[in-house]
Amino acid sequence: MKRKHISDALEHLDPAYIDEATGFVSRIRLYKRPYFRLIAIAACLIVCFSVLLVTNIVDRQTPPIDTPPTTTVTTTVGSAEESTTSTEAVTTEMSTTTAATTTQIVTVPDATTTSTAKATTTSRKIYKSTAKKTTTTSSMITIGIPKATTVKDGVVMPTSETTAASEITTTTTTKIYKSTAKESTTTSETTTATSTAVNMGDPVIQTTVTGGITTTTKVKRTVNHTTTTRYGDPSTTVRDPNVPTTTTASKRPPTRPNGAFGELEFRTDLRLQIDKQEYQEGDVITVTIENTTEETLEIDPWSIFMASQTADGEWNRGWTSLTAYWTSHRLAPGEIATTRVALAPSSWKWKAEEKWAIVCCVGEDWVRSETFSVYPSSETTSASLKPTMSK
Amino acid sequence: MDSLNDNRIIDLFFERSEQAITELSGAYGVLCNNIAFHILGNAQDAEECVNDAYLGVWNTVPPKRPNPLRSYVCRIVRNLAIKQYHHNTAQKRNSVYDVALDELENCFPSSDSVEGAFDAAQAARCINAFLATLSRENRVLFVRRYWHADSIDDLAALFQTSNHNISVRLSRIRAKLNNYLIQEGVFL
Repeated sequence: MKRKHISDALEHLDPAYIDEATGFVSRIRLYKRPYFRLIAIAACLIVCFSVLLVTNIVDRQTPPIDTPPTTTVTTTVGSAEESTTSTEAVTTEMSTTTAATTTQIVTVPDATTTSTAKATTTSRKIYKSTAKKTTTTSSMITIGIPKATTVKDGVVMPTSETTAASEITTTTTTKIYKSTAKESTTTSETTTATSTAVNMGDPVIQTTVTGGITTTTKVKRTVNHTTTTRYGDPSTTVRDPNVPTTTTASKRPPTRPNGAFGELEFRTDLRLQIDKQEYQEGDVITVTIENTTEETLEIDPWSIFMASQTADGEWNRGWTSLTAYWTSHRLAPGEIATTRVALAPSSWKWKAEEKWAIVCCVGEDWVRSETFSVYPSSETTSASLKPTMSK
Repeated sequence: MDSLNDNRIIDLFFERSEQAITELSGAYGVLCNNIAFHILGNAQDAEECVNDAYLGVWNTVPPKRPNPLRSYVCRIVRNLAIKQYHHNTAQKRNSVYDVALDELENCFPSSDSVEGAFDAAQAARCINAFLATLSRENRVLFVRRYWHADSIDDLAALFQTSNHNISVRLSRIRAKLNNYLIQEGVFL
């Protein structure tokens, strides 16, 4: 009694716990899976590579300087009328180019000097792979008669030399850099091979391309279809692929409790045909049903039972054979379907005096075969007994 | 992924397709056979139970749409196997399930009177509450031993440990269960 209570109590365990236990995989087995090791190795490699990248100093390309930096100093004698200092910035994609020019005009009153004007320009250019325009300008204004001066520490020192005024001209340089990238075109031709699975009777299409001309040839090919039949297998028919088949859902069989069928009413206009009335344990029963009615019948494929008849005429459900499949589930008038039911050894303990029948559902009705006996393997059927020759 | 597969199988049942049984057998056939075999100890009886369970699923789906499907099928198989087990129990007592029930029987304190005994549903609530107090591994160990009726060898292989280790862990869990049931005043 206590054991039954415990057994019943265990039936009401939380389904979440049952699901957790059913799907459980131990951590050790989880970590032994090969892809965990691969992931760990890949992660180590990624870390090492990133460390190498960070510690390496990658030099960026510095732009070449086409001219040494120079400064421009202009000195004038007399009154300075104008001075300009301009700084022009040229912005490129990656960096800024600044071309700075400075014009200094120095006024030296009351002095006869010679001036030596030196024109210098400062430029810095950055060369990129994309076309860019860099402009360097410098401008000077000459006012008066420049005289030579010596500039020391920002202070103009008069000298005794005289020179002719010289003029400093404006220079503008423009350089345009073109991309050195060259356009390239790559063409490739790929040929795709296609294959088509061939079923029995299918036409096969062959396509050939010769000299640019495509030729399509249809070839009919027959494939031999081989089926291996095992003990207890139902008989099968080869379906004609040219005949379209339709599949319809079969109706649910009438609900019956497990164990007892009780009083069953069977159709009298339909009967399952069996080949013998006595079988041995381990035999295979060939069951046939013929639609002798004028309507199309729907047979439930899963409701092939063995039922035993009690002394008072009631039926008990024996067991279900899920290896038995009807060859056809929709029977037109006059059509026949077959199946095979294997009387495999089991713990049912066959008794020769028991009466059995094959039962199945057709629509909402029950149909059965004639009753038959099943002899256990320790006994022999009357049909298998051979007469002894008397001398 | 499992739930996608389950939904596909249930859809096949709704379409009343024969492929539903094949897919169900392919997904959970081995598990169901193991459960039935552990309880009944006989391969043919186990196969019959599994076949009956498939029919049970066919008859109840639709309209039911069980989620998760795995534990639904396992429950049906287990119930059928236990019914068959009770039918066989007068003749033989050597299945794994027998041994597991023997172990668990001593965990449950006995009542002095029939009136004081708890019914199965109340005992089940207490067992569920006890399982919530266990660690995940211990809980899985308990359920697989006493619900799935896995053998000690199977559990040792599952947890990648020795048989002795499993036996010791189970005896400790049973001792905890016994203390818990006494505290809760559950008697059978």
